[in-house]
Amino acid sequence: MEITSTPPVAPSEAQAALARPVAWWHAIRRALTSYTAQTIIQGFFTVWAVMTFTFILIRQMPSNPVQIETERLIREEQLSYEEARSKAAALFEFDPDQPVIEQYLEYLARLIRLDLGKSITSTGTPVMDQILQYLPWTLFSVGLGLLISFTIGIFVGMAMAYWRGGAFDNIVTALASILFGIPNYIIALLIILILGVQLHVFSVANTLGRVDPTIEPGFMLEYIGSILSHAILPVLTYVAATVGGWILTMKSSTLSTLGEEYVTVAHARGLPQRRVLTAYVGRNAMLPLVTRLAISIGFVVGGSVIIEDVYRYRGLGKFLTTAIVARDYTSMQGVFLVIAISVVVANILADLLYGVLDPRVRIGKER
Amino acid sequence: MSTSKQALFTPARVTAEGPPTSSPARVVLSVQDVSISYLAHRGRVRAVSQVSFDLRQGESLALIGESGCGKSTLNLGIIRLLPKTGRVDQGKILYTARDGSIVDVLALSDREMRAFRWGECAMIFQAALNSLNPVIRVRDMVYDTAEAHGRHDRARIRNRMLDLFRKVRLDAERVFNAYPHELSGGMRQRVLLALGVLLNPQVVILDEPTTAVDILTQRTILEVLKDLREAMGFSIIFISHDLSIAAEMADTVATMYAGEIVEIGPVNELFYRPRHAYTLGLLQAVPKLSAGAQDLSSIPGSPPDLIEPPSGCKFHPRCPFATERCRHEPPPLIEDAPGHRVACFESERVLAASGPARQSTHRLD
Ligand SMILES: Nc1ncnc2c1ncn2[C@@H]1O[C@H](COP(=O)(O)OP(=O)(O)OP(=O)(O)O)[C@@H](O)[C@H]1O
Ligand SMILES: [Mg+2]
Repeated sequence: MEITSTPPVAPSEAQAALARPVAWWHAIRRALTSYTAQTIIQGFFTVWAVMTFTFILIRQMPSNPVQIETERLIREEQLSYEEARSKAAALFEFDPDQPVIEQYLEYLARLIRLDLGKSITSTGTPVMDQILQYLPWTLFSVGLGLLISFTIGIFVGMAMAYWRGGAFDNIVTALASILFGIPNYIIALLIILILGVQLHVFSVANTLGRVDPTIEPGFMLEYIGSILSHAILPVLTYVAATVGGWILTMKSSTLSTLGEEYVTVAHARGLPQRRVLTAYVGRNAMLPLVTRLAISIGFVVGGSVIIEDVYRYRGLGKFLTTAIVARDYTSMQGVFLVIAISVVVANILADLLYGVLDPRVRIGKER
Repeated sequence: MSTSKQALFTPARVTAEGPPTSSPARVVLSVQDVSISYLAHRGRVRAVSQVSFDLRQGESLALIGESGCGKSTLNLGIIRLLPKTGRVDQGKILYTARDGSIVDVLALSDREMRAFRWGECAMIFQAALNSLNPVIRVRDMVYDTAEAHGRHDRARIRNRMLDLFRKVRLDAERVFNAYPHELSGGMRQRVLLALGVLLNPQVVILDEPTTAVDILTQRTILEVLKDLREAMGFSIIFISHDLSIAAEMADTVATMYAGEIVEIGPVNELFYRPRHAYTLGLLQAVPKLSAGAQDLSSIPGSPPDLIEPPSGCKFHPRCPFATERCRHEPPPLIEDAPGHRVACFESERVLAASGPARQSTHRLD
């Protein structure tokens, strides 16, 4: 910690009054340069940059909401172009001809008041409400998958390192590498095809979606059971797609920790195996994984787009794809903002967590 | 300071030795014909071959010899912490507990072995800087150690540890609560030293305790080691490359070459009347401030391959005294002078040659 630069006891009132603005300035400067403040400022800047970038990018996509609705009307209701166009334009509170810079400034002005605007295509619905409606489902399914995957990875990876070279190690290494190499949507399709269609382990029709729509929502066993049974497939997919990476990382991290002198010394001190494995090997081997975990948590929100589409699981990812197809700019923008914020927040959490786990970092940060 | 730890270490007796003798010359650790090898890609590395020695109560034994001659391996073998590729091929390591019972360390069960480690025989490792877990505090390592040996009275442990920290001239309170990275190398070394004697072991093994620190810290460490030894009376196995330190610390010195003990004897015998050409070579390679550079010599050649060692005396390719016999016949380790054993056919010639050299180059104290 730096030494506080407050002046010694002031000799007189007048001098104290004079010194006050200077002390204030010092306090503000110290606060601004403190580690926490810098992290927060940096986070804000990152979110703003991502927001601006996506704002411009999504408007560079071909077509726009009015255009798409016009095309739909021509196709489905056989209207003429002119008719369809004016009908579509009247439907949405969105003027595609307004300059992007004006749109941007308007959006920014609202954002400062924490207003994400209204959905363009579902006229009148605030984007915030939509996000709050979809987000919990994604957080639940992807988060659960990540938690299971991380836990399995830690234990299996450590066990493999411990019995390295054995049959268990060899088989799991091969499996983990294969799983690690397959993209998650392929895994999702394979699960449906093999477990659902071929082996009839589950009924495809009954497990798609996020909950059985005929059941009344509420804190009842039936409703919760339905939520869980519908989440099984996405969660299984997330676990299968990520567990290989966790296992392999944990294995190599444990291997290098096992070679550390302090592990041998712990044995030389007569410590029981259990204690050495947890406090000496496990804790040190997990350090590099913590950062990865936090970053993954950041991607919990965005990492689910294709899987949710495959399983018709209406979470934030599914909401995003729908918004993209309809060119619902404000909704897309809202989702991207949520993703950016969660990545930034997760990184800050990773830093804090790392500091808790590794005292060497904790000290460095206080400087 | 001696606590009632015998109750914890009660492995089955191998031999009953009658009532404990109070004679200071009681053998605490007897290493008998021990060979250790590592499995490597090219074959078996015979890192230690047929080593025998007795360590008496309160005695300090220094192991000297070039890098790679098997010093660390021998000591890791004693506490059975060899890496997975290493194994003890033959021999016995007999340990005499305080109650006089003798056990073969190599035959102990895992539980008995855990009690033996640190409780009866502590080893301070070569890489002391890296010997402490970086993510937990010193005090947690202290409690870990004590609790592993059945001591759960934290207040007592804390007091004893602080006491020992003060004995090794550390700022006891601060060090007790510190993380390892907050301590300097010399401090960490002393933390280990104090931690090493926390459970009042009979044997303390020190693997090059002074290599990684500066000369002044080195002095401090040696002094606190002497103090501790005086106060607690443990025996020491001391590994060092620095012959002057060995001369200062040891009662007995053993020279190792290519995994074998080639000469062992009382410190003055060995340093002033060396009977093995390798010991003589080591002594002549010691730089002395008073001696000119021309007096320095090093041993020609390099240590042999331990997978396929040379026939006969393993030192013969580098030995200025070697004869035809040395090339074919391995010399046995036999007693030449009282307490002084040497494995050399030409020991008389070596002794004669060391006579004139003795005066000028290797006054070690
Ligand atoms: N894990 C291992 N696998 C194979 N060979 C090994 C292993 N560890 C040590 N050795 C070999 O065993 C021999 C003895 O090594 P050891 O570490 O005991 O030597 P040392 O006398 O302690 O050397 P130093 O003074 O450098 O510490 C060396 O030749 C070394 O190459
Ligand atoms: Mg060594």
